[in-house]
Amino acid sequence: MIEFRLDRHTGVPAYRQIIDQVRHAIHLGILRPGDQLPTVREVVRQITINPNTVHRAYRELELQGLTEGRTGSGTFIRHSLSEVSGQQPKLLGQLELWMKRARDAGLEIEAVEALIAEALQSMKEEE
Amino acid sequence: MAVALETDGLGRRYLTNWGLRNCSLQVPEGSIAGLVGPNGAGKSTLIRMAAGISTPSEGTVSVFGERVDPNSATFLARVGYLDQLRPFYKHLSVEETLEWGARLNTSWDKASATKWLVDLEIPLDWKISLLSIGQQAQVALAVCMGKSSDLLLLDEPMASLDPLARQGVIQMLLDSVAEKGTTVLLSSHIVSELEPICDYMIILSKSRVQVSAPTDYLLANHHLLVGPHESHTFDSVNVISSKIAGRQATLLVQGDPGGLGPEWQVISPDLQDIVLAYLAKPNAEPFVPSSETSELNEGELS
Amino acid sequence: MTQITWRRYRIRIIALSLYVVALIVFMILTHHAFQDAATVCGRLHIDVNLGRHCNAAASAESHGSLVETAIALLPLFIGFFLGTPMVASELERKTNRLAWSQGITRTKWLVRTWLTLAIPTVVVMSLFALIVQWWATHIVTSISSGGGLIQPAQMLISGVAPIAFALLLLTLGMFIGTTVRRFFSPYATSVVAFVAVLAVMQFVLPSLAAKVVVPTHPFGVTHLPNGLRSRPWFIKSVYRFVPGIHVGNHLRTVGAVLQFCKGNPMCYQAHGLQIVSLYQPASHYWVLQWREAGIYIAATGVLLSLSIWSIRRWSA
Repeated sequence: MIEFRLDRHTGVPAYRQIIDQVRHAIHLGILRPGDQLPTVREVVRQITINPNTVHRAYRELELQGLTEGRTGSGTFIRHSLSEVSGQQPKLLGQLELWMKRARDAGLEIEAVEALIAEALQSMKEEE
Repeated sequence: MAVALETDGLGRRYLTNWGLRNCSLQVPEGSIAGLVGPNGAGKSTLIRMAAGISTPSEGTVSVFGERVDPNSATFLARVGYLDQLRPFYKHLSVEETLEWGARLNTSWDKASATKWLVDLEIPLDWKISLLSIGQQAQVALAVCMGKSSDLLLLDEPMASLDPLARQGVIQMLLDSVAEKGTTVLLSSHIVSELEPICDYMIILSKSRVQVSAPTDYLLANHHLLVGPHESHTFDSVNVISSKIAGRQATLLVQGDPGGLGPEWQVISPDLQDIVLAYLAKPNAEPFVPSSETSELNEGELS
Repeated sequence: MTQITWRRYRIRIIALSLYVVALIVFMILTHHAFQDAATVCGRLHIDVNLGRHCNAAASAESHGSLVETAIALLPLFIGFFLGTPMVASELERKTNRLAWSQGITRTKWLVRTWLTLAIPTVVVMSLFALIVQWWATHIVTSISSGGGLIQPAQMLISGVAPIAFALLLLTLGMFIGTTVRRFFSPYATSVVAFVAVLAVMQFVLPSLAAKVVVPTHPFGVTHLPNGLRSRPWFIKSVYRFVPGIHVGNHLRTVGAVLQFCKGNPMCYQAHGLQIVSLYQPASHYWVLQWREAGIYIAATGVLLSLSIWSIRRWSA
């Protein structure tokens, strides 16, 4: 089961944050195919958010094909995001190695974060 | 989009003063609409006309597609109203007030209204006159919530409540919307409280509508620009407010500020920034997108 | 609304009931005093002036007037303490905003509130009317009102008209409460209105049934009926030409004759003038009562409808 958190100061709309958190959870394997997302009512009890926002996020997730709604039961994860999920431990190891090299080169944590953010940004722009 | 509350050129006059003038807006069904503005801006006037307690001097107000008729039993059954003054029959006890509500209304959820008050440790057998203002406010809310309406019109429901109680009320409203699809219109002075829960915002100032739009659309179409105050020429955008501090200018603009030089920082404003900017400039161009425009643009919001 | 109205008004209703009970107790206690006074004075006085010669009768008379005034005031108290506040106090405290946003229509709200007060009013006034009837027919008429039941003072407090009158004032007070709020006090307006109704009715009442016209002294024929039960309600005397007489060419109008004759009764007679008395006979008592009550009830219906119309249009 996933618990949502909202950061109101990022400028990212709330429904977007929900979508991102679901995708993130699927990536990390916290949510697997067949798992049920919390109902709108449950989300509303967890965080102070407009129910329509939750509806909207869930609709978007369905449109993206990540979830499916079963009438009467709720919303369920359909399939995992990448078929190559087996790659993840290896990729994680590579990332940790790179980070160690960056630290050895004398980079502060913030500089490391900035580098990663920049790389992510160019990746998003390419997509 | 089904509309719960719609006004068209709505106005109300008291002798020579207009309490509200030329108000046109649409609140979608199932949404939580926030109504902000300074005292005397017309918030209570608008809410009273939607509830049928006041009749318009000009224009129309409709609820669920029908003109508001305060003498229609179907209208009265569907609409819940909380008056700013929270009037009570002070000699009745809390329990008796809830009983009275049960008898006057066809659908009444006495159990949840009672539970709400018991959870707040409000003594049910006390006379209303003996309760504190905060407790009376809670009882007023309980009476309103007990009625199970499709449209809730709440005039400053959170006034007189401590922060914990306010959170409780917000949670109760969210539950009601989540479970029953209730439409809520509430007025408040605390914009930061409205921001997380309202998907529709109405800003009133000097008896006129300055803003009436979905919250996301409102936030996406306004930007804070920070930069040197000599260099700005903006054609495509509407400057709502500007603050100069030394050489730095902070502007709140409506619209997309494309093509700016690197000396300008573009920040997403929060709702408070937007509200304050509009209230400071009553003559600003009103931001009232049509429902088609704001729906179409939903997809562009990321 | 019934329960709320009862809760808000129960103290006032009880107070008014105690007032009534106090009056009844007084009437019962003094019942014998009045009768004794009559015997002591030797005969049943019908003429108030003669009664003054007899001390027992005089004190009984003043007590009687006091009681009668107290009885006559009751409908005004009902109108003022129950009628006017019915809607006026809700509008003042703005509790109508609470009541009129619940599931009940304004019409039902008003009618239920009104019924909650109208029914006790009618019940209490009816019971009281029976007591007053007993008291009036056995005692009072002999002294304080100078004669039978068909006197204005007695008509005011006995029979069925006072029941309807109380109901009318209750409804009139309520109506004033729904309409008068911005510039005038509904309470002050009510007092003025109640007194106005009284005044108008005193004026209208004599004409509600056909008056009997009889020639009287000094040159007429008939005497007014007398006796305890049959004393009529003397309304006025007028001059007129004797019916059937041929009016001379010279003085054609009553006014002209009066001016010409300058108070000389022989002259009047010579010119065909007579004095007639207009009165309502004792037998008309119930006719007048029911017609008066009918007017009040009709007016009550009109005011109730107007009140409903008024609050349906009411806007904050």
